[in-house]
Amino acid sequence: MSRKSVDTDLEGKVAVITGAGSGIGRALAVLLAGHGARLAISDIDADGLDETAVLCEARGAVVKADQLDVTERAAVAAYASEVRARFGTVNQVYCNAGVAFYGEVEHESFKDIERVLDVNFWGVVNVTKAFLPHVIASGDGHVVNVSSLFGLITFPGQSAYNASKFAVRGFTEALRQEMLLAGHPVRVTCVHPGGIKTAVARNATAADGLDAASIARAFDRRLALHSPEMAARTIVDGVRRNRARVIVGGEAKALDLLARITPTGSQRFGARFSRILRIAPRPGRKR
Amino acid sequence: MTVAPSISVPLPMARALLHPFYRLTFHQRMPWSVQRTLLNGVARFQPLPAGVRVETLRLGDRPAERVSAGPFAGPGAVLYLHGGGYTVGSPATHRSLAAHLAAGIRRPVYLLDYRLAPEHPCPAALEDALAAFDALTRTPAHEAGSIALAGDSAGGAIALAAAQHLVAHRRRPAALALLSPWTDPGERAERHRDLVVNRDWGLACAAAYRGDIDPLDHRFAPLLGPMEGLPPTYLFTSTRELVYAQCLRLAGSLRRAGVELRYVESPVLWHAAQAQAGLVRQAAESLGDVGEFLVANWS
Repeated sequence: MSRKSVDTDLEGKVAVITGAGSGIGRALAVLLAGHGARLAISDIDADGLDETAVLCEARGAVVKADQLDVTERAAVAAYASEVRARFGTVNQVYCNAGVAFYGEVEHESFKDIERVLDVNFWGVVNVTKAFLPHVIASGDGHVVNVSSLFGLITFPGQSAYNASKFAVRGFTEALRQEMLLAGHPVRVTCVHPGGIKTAVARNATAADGLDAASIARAFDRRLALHSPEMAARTIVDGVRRNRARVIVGGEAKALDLLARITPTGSQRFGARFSRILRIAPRPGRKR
Repeated sequence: MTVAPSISVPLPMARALLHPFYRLTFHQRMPWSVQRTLLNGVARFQPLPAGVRVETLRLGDRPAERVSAGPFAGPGAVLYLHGGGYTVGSPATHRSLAAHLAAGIRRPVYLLDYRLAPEHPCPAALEDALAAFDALTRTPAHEAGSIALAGDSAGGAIALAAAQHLVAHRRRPAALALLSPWTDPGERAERHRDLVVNRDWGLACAAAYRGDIDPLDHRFAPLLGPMEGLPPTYLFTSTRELVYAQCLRLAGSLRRAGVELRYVESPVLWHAAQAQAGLVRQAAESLGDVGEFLVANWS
């Protein structure tokens, strides 16, 4: 692919981005706006979403911004029709909205686990299914689902998050296979960001009795290595190259490699590592 | 139209010169009176473009300067509120900015010497701005719809608060130009300092200006005020400045309220860099862009 076609291939394309009010979603929106894409952005946080819209419009993009809860299936379906009606077509869908949660299986409530699965997994399913017919119809489509490094490796205290992000990965990879089999003009990419400086950790909740803020601080200080802009560039680059899997960050690539070399050894490593980082509570610590 | 500065200092040099000066001037132990004297003294080095006339007059109860570069291109004028954390700054510190703006738009710019905190806390500055707007619109040359409100930093916030008040009383200004506006003075910045201001100084200014009124009062924090019905607004911010986050928040609120918004963020300029339009080409160009926006809203 020549350099020129890479620079112009997003011009006029319609991109849908969920969770665009901050972090990777905002950076993706701003980057795609700079490449001339038309944008349908959404977030549950209306304030952050308006800011993203301003940033995109300042780069000359046409922007449709809507407050959206990706767990509301009917609302997502109606939203997909609205976007299609507004722009006539839908080329790219970035299912990016997600929440973080920290809690051990022994102590976390069913409600907490369900909430994480609702947003991170069912949100992706709702948005993907709602937009898939439009993306197929566009003749030049791409579904980009944001999983996580924790969709490749497990981590103590992340059981619910791990489950949701592994589920996104399974769902997305199977979708890619189906699109290939059916010969649909739709490419599918699963994204696995490592430690990115976003609001997802800062907005995280934790099981009762744990201090979400201090866990978030530990994450921000020790694990958030990359900017959302770097993540967005890596993702869009991978999307253009039609990568099945995009891993963001050298540390994420190294941990992915470790998990492939020794799937069980990497679990022990993760457990030790979490203690070194002091993100997980010490064993036997009283609540 | 951009009125280029007579000498143009390269950006890195401008930053290297300005930073130590502002760091000294805006040190939290520096008395307000010394800060004011230092700023006024250094302002002498800011050149004015050729052919600019500066006349002193009174607007409302306050001294003001009418800065113009004739002949005028049409009706309309700018009421400009200078920056300086509500506590420092004067027409002198912003005369060069006003002169470059006036030469660009070819209409007069009125620089108001509003009352400063801590001697005169909020809403004294706002009352002065509104009185000046009234006085201007009573002169035969100007009507309410022809006056644009503009300001940088604290002045931008006063301009916004004044516009909110005017809109609530069905007297819409022609346009708003807000340059690095400090519209939520009570907010604690995430970082310690930028090239111009620092957090401690900002908090001291905010405390001095707030006086006894509620920190959520819209006259003190117009970011929290009503945005509906505001005139077309130009909003400049620097991605490097302490108030970047609240400027972006303001932009989001304006967009949601349906205000016609021109949002410009600069990765190279600094907080209220337009004040250096007489020395830095990029600052003059930014001011030229502001002027074009204002002119488009008069014609």
